[in-house]
Amino acid sequence: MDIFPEYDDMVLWRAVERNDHRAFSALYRRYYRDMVLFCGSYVRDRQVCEDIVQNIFIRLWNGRRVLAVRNFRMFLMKSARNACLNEMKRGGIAGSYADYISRTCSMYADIEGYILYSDLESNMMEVLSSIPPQYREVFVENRFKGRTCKEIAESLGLSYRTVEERLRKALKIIRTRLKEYDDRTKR
Amino acid sequence: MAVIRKSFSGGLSADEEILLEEWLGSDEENGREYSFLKSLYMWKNPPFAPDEVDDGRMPWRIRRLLLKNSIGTNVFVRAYRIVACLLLIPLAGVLVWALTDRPSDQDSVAMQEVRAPFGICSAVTLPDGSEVVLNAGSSLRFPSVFDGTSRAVELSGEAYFEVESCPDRPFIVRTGGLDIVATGTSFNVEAYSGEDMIAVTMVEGEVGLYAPDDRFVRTMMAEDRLVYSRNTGTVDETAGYSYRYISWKDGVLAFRNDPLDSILARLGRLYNVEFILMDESLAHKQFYATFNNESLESILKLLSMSDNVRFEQVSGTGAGSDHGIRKIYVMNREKH
Repeated sequence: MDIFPEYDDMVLWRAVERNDHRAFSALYRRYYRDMVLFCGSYVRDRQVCEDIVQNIFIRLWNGRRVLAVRNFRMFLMKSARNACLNEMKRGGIAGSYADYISRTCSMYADIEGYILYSDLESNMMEVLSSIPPQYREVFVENRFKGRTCKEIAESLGLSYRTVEERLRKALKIIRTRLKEYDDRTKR
Repeated sequence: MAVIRKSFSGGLSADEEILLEEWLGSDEENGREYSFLKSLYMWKNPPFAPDEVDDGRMPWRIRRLLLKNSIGTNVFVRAYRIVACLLLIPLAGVLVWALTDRPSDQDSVAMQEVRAPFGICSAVTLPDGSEVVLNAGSSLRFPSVFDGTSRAVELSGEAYFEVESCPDRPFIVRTGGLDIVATGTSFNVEAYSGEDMIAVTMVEGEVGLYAPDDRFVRTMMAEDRLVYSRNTGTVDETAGYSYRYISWKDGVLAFRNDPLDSILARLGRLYNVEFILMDESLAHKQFYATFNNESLESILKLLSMSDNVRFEQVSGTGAGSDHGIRKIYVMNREKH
């Protein structure tokens, strides 16, 4: 549902700064679902996630003249993560787990590595088809079919270390390639 | 690896937590990798179905915010350069030309008429909370109280409607040619009384169209646009939706290969000037331009720079004479 696919995020955001609400709804449509799903990685309740994202967009519109937005997508993701962590604290989701997540996530987990749902959806198959088939096989078995490295090693007649190594390499290539897509579209 | 995976679904043991934390803390890059692995995991195991998230329609509370803000901020922040389109609140009683009880044939509800003079746009809030932005030279008649069954208004000219949702009481825009029936939607209607065409541009929601004899014409959905001819009763929907049809309400004039005569008609209403075309061949010259709250002078200058058109003010038609309407000759630079 991208209504201005030819414009990148910052072009649209500059227009929003000048009160263009067509541009605003384009950004909304471009990111709404992805951001709700991103919030879903912290908070499991869809309605809560939707509220969080809607509130972020309201804040964006109200603050369009004062917010220093350099990278729209990063801005969204950071706002969403912080809102989710607050929500988790407030909602007291299994106390210790929430504490633990917010501690490690805020300290180390760098959301720059996170690939949004629709980007995975549209680019994953192409990336997969371009990596060596031995790597791909291990990756698909492990990530999509949920089999452990040990099981894969047994069924393919490979050593455990080989499977682990292939999986590691596959992940590395996929990550780099997806990142390239990300930079190229740089929406 | 296994520990990382487990952390996504929750339920790590204390030992595993420490392990993960150590790994994350040992290298900055690990944090990014963790996020990447998490996004892969969430892609295959989303906590709720992605299709359930409706991204096609902004919730009403956000859309309302947009409309309010686009009017409010223009007035305060950009007032000094708004020559094109002053969005005034109806409180500035100047705009209310007539607030009279009329012997109505329906009942004795008072009708109000709000008229945006040439050169000025105005914003109106109707009794039900619906918002209307009236383009320059347009007028809107509506009852001071809507009755229980419907909300009917009469439009002459162009207006942008943001209708408060109320399915039981349809909102009806009468244009003297086409009736537009809505419940809770946003749309733009262009129906100048001197012109044959009536153009309806949908932004969001859905409306029904009815011909003067109450014959149902068709429905329109979000982002449709159609042009109706009063004379022939035909409908043309080739134009397609574009922001440019409604951008006037934000003070933006957008022309996309439009012929000069229609551009001048628009400018004339907006700036309260009369253009006199001295050379008919100019009428169909096409222009592609976008103006954002610019003065008439700079618009004309830009138009004449891009083609062989020349504008010349008719002497003695400034403010004060002839009801203050300026007249401007439009000439072909090559011939004159």
